[in-house]
Formats: sequence, C-alpha cells, structure tokens
Amino acid sequence: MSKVFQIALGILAAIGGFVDIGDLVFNVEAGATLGYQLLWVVVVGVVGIIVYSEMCGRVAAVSKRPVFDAIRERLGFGVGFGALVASQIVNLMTLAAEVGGVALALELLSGLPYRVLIVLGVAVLAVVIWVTPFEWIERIFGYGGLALLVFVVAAIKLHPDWGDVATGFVPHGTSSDKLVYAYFAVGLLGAAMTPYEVYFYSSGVVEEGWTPKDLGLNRTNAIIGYSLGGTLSLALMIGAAALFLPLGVEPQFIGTVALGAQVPLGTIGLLLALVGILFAVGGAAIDTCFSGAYNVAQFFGWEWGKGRRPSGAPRFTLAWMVLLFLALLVIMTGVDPVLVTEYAVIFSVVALPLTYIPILLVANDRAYMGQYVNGRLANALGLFYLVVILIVAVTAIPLMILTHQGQG
Amino acid sequence: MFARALLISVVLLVAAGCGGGGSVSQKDIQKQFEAIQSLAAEGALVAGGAADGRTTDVFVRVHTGYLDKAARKVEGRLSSAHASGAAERDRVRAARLASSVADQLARLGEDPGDHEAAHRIQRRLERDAALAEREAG
Repeated sequence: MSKVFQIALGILAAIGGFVDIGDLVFNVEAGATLGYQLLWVVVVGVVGIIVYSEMCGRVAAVSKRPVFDAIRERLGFGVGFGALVASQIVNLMTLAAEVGGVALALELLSGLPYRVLIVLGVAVLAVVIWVTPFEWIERIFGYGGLALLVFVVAAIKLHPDWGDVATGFVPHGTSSDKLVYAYFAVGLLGAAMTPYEVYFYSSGVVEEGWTPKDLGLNRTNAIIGYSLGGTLSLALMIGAAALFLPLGVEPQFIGTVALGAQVPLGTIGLLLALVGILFAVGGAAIDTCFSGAYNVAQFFGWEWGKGRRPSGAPRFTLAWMVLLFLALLVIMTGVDPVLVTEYAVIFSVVALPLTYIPILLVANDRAYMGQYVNGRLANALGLFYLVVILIVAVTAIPLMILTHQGQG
Repeated sequence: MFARALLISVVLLVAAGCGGGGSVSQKDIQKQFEAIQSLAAEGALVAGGAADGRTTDVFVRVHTGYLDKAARKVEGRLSSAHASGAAERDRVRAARLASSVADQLARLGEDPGDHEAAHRIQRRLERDAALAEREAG
C-alpha cells in the first residue's frame, strides 16, 4: 500500500473515530447552554490531544513501550497501581456509557426495546473484537463515523451568526454564571483529552509495529486526523447553539443530538446522524475496551495484543471480556448513559495528570528516546498542557457539584 | 429525646430527598418551568418534523417516549410537593403544564404518521413552551 494511501486511511479513521459519546454530550450541551462562547476550548483540547498523542506515539514507536509501561516505571508500583485503578474505573464508566449510546442509537433506528439492544450491541461488539483484525476495526468504525460529517452540513444550514461564531474562538466569557462556564470548559477539555485515547493510540503503535521511520506518519495522523475530528466537535456545538439555545432546549438525550441534523436536513440528515453516532460510539466502545485490557496487561507484564491469537494472550483476552461484561451489567441497571457520560468525562479529567506526566517524562529521557527526544516546541506545549491539566483536574469535581452538572 | 428528634429529622430529610412530597421554593418551581419549556420546545421540533414528513416514525415514537417520560417525572415531582403562599399557585400551574406537555408528547408518539395531528401538537407544544418561558421569567 502506498504511503499516501496509508496516511489518507489513517486520517479518515481518525476523523470518524475522534468523536465519542463524551464529545457528543458535552459539545451539544455546551452549545445549547452557552452558545458559541466555548468554541475556543475545543481548539485548546484538540491541540492538547495532538501534542500528547504525537508524543506517546513517538515514545511507543521508538522505545516499543506503550503508556502504561511508562506509568509503572516512572511512578513506581504504588502510585502506578493507583493510576491503574483510577484509569480502569474511568474506562469502565466510559465503556458503559458507550455501550448505552450504541443501544440508544440502535433503538432510535429500529424501535426495538432498549434492554434487548444493549445485550445485542454487546454481543456484536464482542464478536467484532474477537474476529476482526485491528486495522479493519479501526477502518470500519472510523469510516462509519464519517457519517457524522452531516453535522458540519447541518451547522451551515442552520445559518449561525458567523460573527458570533468567530468571537467564540477568542476566550471572553460573557456568561453571567461563571461556574457553569468553567464546568463546561473543563468538561470539553476532558472530552477532547480523554485518557483512553492515548492508551489506545500508543498500544496501537506498538501493535502495528511502527518504528522511527513511521514518525512522519505518526505526526501527520495526529495533526490532521485530530484537527479534522475536532471540526466535528465544533460543528456539534455551533449547531446546538444555533438551534437549541434560542428555544431554551436543554439536551438530555442522544435523540436530541440527532435532532440537530434532522431539523435542517430532514430524514436523510437524521439517518446519517444516527448511523454516524452508532459507528462513532461503537468504535469508541471497542477502543475503551481495548484500552482497559491494554492497561492491566501492560501494568502486570502479561502477554497482550489484538494481533495475537486469544490463546497467545489469554489474560489480555479475558481482561477485555470481563470489562465488556461489567459494562453490560452497569448499563443494564437502567442508569442513564448520558448521566454516566457526564460523570465519566469529569472523573477522567481527575485522572489526566497520572496519564500525561509519565508520557512527558519518558519523551524527555535520552536513554529511551535517543535523537527522538522532545524538542523545545514539544516541551513548551507539553508543559503548558500539563499546567492546564493540573488546574482542571483540581477543579473538575468541585465544579460538577457546585453547578449540579452544569444546570446552574 | 434528642436521638428521636434526630431520627425524625433524618427520615423527613430522606423522604424529601426521594421526592416524597417535600416543599419546593419559588426558585425550584422556576427551574421546573425551565425544564418544561425545554421539553415542550424539543417536542415541538420533533412534531414539526413529523408534520412535514421529514423524519422517521420510529424516531418520533422512541424520542417522544423519552421526552414524555421526562415530562411525567417533572409533573410527578411537582404534584407530590407543596409550597407556601404565591409559590403554591405557581406549583399547581407548573404541574398542570407539565401534564399537558406530557399528554401532547404521548399523543404524538401514538400516531407519528398523522401529519395533521402532528401539526396541531406542534402548535400546542410551542404555546406551552412560550408559556413556560414566561413563567420561568
């Protein structure tokens, strides 16, 4: 396969795979509550995930060590174990939310009972994970998720005030409720920089056998893929601000997200939105499931990898099965997936420093990285984001409590 | 004596927390009006799509089911609570409005293919949303 084609495939998969249920919920809620005011936060979040994905991809390609290897070594067993437990709790919550999202999208498409669709969805995800090769999982769900581009067309068709949209890219905060503004800013950063993305990305780099020769591909995928994926987040927020804010609609359901495409584009817009949500959330469910299994296997030094046969990495295989089963149990209790998403995103913010500090440390270690050690720009951006991450990690839960999850 | 008073207080607090008929303030009622406005406005959007034939029957039926359930929850919360003074009158009005919105949504979900009925429901929900917005201040 030619390099250009490979890059194009990777980018397409990244666009479709960027948005998960956290992005869907937080971007639409933020747009409906605060209009265009927080568009700049999406940009900050997307640049952050680009910086750290590029860094952990580079670390993985050069040292052949994924993120959790670095976490255990750099933070020691005790703190590393704490990071493992925290990340697994967040992974499980996120996975449960994604599984619920898959069932809701299927329900809105088929009309079949929600609980039946939860079981069916989990069964299909398990079969896909078991039988489908890694690169095809990425492509199927990435390309399916491209249907979400309907939200870009919808946002344009809703005729937003482009002057106001442009103003939203500059931090200014005219909201009367500063705490609500801060809560959504923190949530949007958490949704964009969610830790499972870097666990999955770095493990994928090792699985696909990337070497320092592939660093250009790593950088291109991260920059272009996430930037274009971030465009979807912006479109979701702009559409919600143009349609829901003037009417006073407070989005609480996945169906409300789809309504953002149905109103301007009719039935075709609705179907594309629902199919896009199904693939994006389904792909994110698989990513999260793998991330959880990668983390535990890498931490305890088990054999791991989707590329191996299940008998070649039995504990890794068992780990993703257990995670999927636990997610099924959580969501079958009847808990609202949108509510679980909000908690998962906010709790993931708290776990961010434990994920990103070790990446920054290893990326600066010449013993591992040799000539591929962080440059000045990567370090400046890495440090800047570390400060941002620490601030949002400290404020996330107090803001969630004080604002009643953004309700004011 | 103190222990018994404490126990009664805890039981009352738990009952209030469970939505078992606690008292609501004017601010709480205002919040419920906002929730009613949101549900009615969203329901009107769904009904508009059904009236124009620009959506699917399955989507209308399933999504209005969720909106209806949410409106019933608001109604239940308001009906089982009590307020004092002028707030009591607002509480009753809000409960009635939530009930009306829930009824319209249920009707829409029962027959999503009836374009004329959907159009009527859209107008009614738009009116309810406007009324709730005024009450919410």
